[in-house]
Amino acid sequence: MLILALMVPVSSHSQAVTLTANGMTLEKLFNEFRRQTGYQFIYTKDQVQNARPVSCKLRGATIGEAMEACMVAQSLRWTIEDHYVVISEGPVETHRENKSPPFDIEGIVMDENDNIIAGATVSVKGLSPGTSTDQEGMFRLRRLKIGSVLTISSIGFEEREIIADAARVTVRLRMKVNELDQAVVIGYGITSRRYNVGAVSRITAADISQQPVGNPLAAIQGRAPGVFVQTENGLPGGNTRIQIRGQGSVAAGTNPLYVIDGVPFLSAPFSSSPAANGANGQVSPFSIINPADIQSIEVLKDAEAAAIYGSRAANGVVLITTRRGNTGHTKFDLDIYKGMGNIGHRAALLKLEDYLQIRKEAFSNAGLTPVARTAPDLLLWDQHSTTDWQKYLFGGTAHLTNIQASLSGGKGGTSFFSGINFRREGTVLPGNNGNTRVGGHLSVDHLSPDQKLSVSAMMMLASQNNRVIHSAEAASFINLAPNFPIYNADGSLNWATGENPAALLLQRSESRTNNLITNVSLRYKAGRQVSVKLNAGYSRITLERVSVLPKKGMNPAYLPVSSSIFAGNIEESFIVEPFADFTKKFGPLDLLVLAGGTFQQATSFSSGVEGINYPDESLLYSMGAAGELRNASSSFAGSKYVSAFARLNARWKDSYIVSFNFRRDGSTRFGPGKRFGNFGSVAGGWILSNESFVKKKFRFLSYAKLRVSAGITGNDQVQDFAYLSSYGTGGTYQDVSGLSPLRSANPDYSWETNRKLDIGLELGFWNDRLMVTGTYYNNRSGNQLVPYPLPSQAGFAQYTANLPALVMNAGAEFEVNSVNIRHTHFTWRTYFNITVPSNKLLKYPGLNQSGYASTYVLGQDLSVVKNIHFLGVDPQNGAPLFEDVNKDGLLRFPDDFQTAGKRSPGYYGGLGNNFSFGHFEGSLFLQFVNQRSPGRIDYPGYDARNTWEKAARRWRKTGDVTGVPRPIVSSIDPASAAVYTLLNSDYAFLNTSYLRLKTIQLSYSFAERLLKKWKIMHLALFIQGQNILTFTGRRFIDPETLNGLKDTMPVIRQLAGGIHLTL
Amino acid sequence: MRTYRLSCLIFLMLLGFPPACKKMIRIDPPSTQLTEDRVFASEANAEAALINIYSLLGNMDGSIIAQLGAYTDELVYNGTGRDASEFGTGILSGSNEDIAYLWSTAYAIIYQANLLTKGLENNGSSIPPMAKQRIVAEAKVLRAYCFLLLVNCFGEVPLALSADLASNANAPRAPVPEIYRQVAVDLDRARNDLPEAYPSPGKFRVNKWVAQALLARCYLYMQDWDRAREASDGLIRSGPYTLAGVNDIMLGGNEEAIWQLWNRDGNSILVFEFMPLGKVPAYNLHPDLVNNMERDDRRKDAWTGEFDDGISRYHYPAKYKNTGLAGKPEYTCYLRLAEQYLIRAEALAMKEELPAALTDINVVRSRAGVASVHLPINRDSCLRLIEKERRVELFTEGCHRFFDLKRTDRIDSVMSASKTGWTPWAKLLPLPEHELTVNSSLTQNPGY
Repeated sequence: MLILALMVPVSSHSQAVTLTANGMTLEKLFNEFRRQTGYQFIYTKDQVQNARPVSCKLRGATIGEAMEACMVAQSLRWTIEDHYVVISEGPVETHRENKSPPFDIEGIVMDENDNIIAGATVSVKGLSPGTSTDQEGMFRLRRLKIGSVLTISSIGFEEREIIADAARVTVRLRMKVNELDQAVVIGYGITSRRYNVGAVSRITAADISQQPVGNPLAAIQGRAPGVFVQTENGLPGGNTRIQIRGQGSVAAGTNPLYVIDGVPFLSAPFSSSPAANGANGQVSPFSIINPADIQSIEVLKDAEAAAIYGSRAANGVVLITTRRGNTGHTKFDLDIYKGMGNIGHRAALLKLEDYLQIRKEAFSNAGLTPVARTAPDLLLWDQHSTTDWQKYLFGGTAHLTNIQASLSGGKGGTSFFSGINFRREGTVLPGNNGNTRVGGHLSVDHLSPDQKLSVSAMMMLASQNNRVIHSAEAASFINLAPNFPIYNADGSLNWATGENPAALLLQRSESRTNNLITNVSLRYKAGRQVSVKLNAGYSRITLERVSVLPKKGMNPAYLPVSSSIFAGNIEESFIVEPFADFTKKFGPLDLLVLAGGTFQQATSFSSGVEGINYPDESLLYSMGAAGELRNASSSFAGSKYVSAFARLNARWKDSYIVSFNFRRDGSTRFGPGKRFGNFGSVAGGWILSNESFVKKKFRFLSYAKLRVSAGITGNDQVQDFAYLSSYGTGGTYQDVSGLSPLRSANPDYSWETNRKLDIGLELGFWNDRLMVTGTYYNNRSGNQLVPYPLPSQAGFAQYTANLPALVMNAGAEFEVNSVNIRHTHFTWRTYFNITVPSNKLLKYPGLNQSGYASTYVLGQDLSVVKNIHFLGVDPQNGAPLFEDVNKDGLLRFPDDFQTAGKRSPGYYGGLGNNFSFGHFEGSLFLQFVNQRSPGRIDYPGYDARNTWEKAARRWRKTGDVTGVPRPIVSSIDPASAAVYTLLNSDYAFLNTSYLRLKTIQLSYSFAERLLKKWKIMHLALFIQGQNILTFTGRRFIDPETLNGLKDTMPVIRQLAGGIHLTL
Repeated sequence: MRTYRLSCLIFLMLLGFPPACKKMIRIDPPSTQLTEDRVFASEANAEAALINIYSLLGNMDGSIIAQLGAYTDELVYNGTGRDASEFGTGILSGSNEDIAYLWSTAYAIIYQANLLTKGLENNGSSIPPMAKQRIVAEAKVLRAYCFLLLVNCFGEVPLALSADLASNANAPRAPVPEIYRQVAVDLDRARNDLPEAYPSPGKFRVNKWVAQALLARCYLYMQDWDRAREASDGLIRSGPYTLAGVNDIMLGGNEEAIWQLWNRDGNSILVFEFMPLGKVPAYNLHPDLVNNMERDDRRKDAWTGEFDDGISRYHYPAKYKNTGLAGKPEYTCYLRLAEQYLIRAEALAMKEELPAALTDINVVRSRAGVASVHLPINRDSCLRLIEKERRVELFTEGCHRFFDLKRTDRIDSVMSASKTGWTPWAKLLPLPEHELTVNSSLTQNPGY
């Protein structure tokens, strides 16, 4: 069947039809209608070829009237949707019975998810006035002509026309495709994309639900320009790092401020003592938030959007809005999916024979004879059997089960949402590792009958249980010699090289995380223009962790003892925010004024202790069974905030917008004289598309907005109490714990300031079917809080103080949203974004004397990598050659270290395509990053470690031209100094750019008529995939988690299938 | 109109909000930290601050004893560490991390001792005077110990004696005699202020005799023979110490030990550098040292061992034997009686009191089962004998070999025969590069 659809965009047509037809073919008639009204016709060749010729006379008829008139004699059914007229098979009686008497119609208006829409406007085409729906979404119209066209509209939804053909109708409105008018959550309010003058990226529940992720932050990856998301550790619970518009601080934290329904949430990854960490490292606090409970995530990037958060906004703000219920049917939703994961990309390593050959060459190059002590891999171990260590360590299948059930509904002014969720995720590691999360979510909204008082309350509870191996060091074992035997002939563990992967797997870590987030929001409408609000919230997250290190998992040469490390951590935050807003329309001026205050208190407490002398290793998880507890530690931090904030937003004729934000913050993180600071922003927007010259000259341009914002925000991500001169727990002597001076007093300790500038142009073409946004930003972070180095003779090695160092982050963000094809049966949307960031250290007084002398370079990126430049391999002797910059014959820091590049990305972004075809929906999302990272390189032949495949192309004889130097054996070879140099050279600075097929999704929704029979509202089957394919280099296992010399676990590829059911 | 009035009222209320803020952000100091004034308000806290200084001493030591051993003809470095290798070859660089660590830890101890001393002098009114006097004296001995180490390693070093960061940071390198004078003053005062009993069980803390033993060593380095003799003589005569059996000198609380460094596991961390735990240890004994031991010297069996890895045979130092949690507790020895005999012997020999000097030397020799040395002997031979005896008696204990060769001015002749890379400036270690970059008034030792 051939579908004909003419994709000419609707332009300004009169929409009235005047025509006289005399035996005209249907196809010709439709073409004429299209020419006159701009409506598109969707039909098949068969339908029009078999139709009867039409004769009729029309004068100024609406499209509905015209269709009605000429389709009378046809055995075809037709509907008008948006700007389309869709022709389908099957006669509909009502169309022909247009001579019947007037009748009353009653209907209910709902959205696609069967939520009631109250206040929707319903009018009869050509007649006015209409009516609107009540609290229950119901409307009634009396004495209609059969076949009249009803127009139903509501803000945020696409307008819809229906034919009045039955006494009771149900109308489902589609959410507006034009995202310009969708609500966008900002600090202390909401706006629409149309009138917003700040830089805000939005990720919706729909984007999140396509991905089988456990951590909602991971769902942002690649989808928001200016927001660099990196999974730091691929194990469940591992941290996902978010960096908004680059690293602004030299030493202070660079995490954004996270706010969940108005309550600030933990910014930093969650950790107790590092010694107690499992292989998944620091825990992301978001790993215990159920992604399906989130309605939307808004990322506030510029001063206009973020400055209202004052001293905490320098690194951007992430606002998370949770799902809420709607009045209407009591709905039961059930989502279940099960999946499997494995590693999607592997490093290419040498095969056994190549490896052994290189090792032998290394010895012969040095003129040495391998002996058992120096070359067990050549002399003691099997020369033919190979273990694939990647398979051994990461070859497992990670099983995934996710269940989410919710009940929601409401009546009158009260609605509720209640949900429970369960997620169990395995790992690819050998053994019993995994993560189980159970959570609940309850929210209630109430509006008093006089519509003056509204109350919203939300509570989210979750508990997570994580079992994983203790040490991420396991990841480095992929480079073990391919013939390394785990066991000796006598069955004992092989410790010939001082390490053993099987032993490492015996060291385990277990953690339990609990999370409670709750908030209440009261709002009283004191008049038509003024509302007074009070938000209050509390969040608490606790972590308990135990790592067990049994003796049998450690090298017996060091006479180890079994031990356990116990650690706990509690973070609490409490907030109260009273505020009021005032909105009024003065003729063409729309004015919003908002002002309020905040009181916030945050505390964190952590403790740890180590247990030894266990009577039995099976008791290692018990603190009580330890014969001796030692290295006990505890720490406390706390801060209080008090702030006042205000916003003024004025809009003139819906075209000119100015906005001011102000915040005065007081914080106990800073010295008594430096506790208060002022922050704020100024922004302006001009909607060009409302200007008549644009309307006339650029008719394809449906929307154009230019916005500019500038302002000052602060960064307070420094230690609590850092201005105090104090003593804390120190070292131990004779089992007595000492007190150590922690720092000397610094009353002038203050926040870092971050000046932000943002210029954006947002364009919509052809009725906003193509949206293009370009943004340039330039942020400068100054008054940097950095450890100021002191000579050791002073007493402390450093002194943290504000330094007039300046870091610039500038960049361009580009975003395209396009609806390529849109009609009833088939839609195709494309989404693309790219960010090109740059980072520069502009000023740093005394850089060369500071502890950062070797780390930073003025005028360069903060992630600059300096090393010795590798020139290639000498064809004469196979030795690596390096550039000796100062020609002194030595390769030394600092003179011979050159800038090799940076670790921060060169550019990054994503490309997504969403399709819907009949009952099928699908999406494909690609994510890309251009970057380089220092990697761990094992030098060919140096020790009993495997190295990358390309080492097979090493130098072997005089005259060989190759990039891989000749094998050199460990320190007994005088040439081995070159190995250190090589590993400190740009030879080990790898290109870790990658392109990832991040998400694929396909779902099938059952037809409505089947569902009616089964009494089901919605039923869909789906499959989803994450990290399906990765295109990148082959020297490493995963380009994303590769992080210098730190071992981390790779991200995994997941494929899941499931069912979604709504009753 | 009502709404306007209401909104005005609300905004006025909000304007009144900020003045209340100052009260709302008062915060108590953290419950897991103490502010400085509270540390000096109780004896227990001041004692804890002192404990921390002892623990730093534990952090600092160990490796420097091994490294300066390898720097001379006492040990041979056999490992692969870059910094330790520099000591092994005798060619040090300013970027050596181990030297930087020694420097910064020594100054951290000095600063904390200064801070404690000043804090107690200014605020310690609620602490009993006797306790205050003892704590200050202990802190001063620890500070003196560090300065003695620093001046011997680096020569002129900044004499940072203040609790103020800025005035310490600006302190220039002081002349060597001035540093010794300060160390002697501190130790002399401390030996008068400290009780004879150890302040805690065992011999891990500083008492009167520790101060006096260290003072004897200080006078020896200052070549103040009379005072060196007086101090060591007083200790040998009046101190509660007697020589122990050769196998017992490192045992916890043995009768010879004057000062031992506490360690949680009841073993010296040096044992892991020296003992062959299935493979060649990082440090071996210099063959020359082993050859210097006389044929029936009991120390050879008791304090050295041999290891064969299939390629060659190594001698390793075995004064410390306990590698595990089991066995008799052993501790790194800082001061013991045998050294005091040898100090007194040297002071006597310098004053030509050769028979008395020989008596002292023979006390140490006879414990090791080596035949006594008898007159006639001339002064130089006697001094050479003392040097040799110190070498075989005190190896791997307190950087003695390096310091002895330096103060007798024999270092260049001995070391240039022993290490090909030895340079005339090597007798002073380079100052850490980082210190020079952050303190422009500091100068590097010549040659580096």
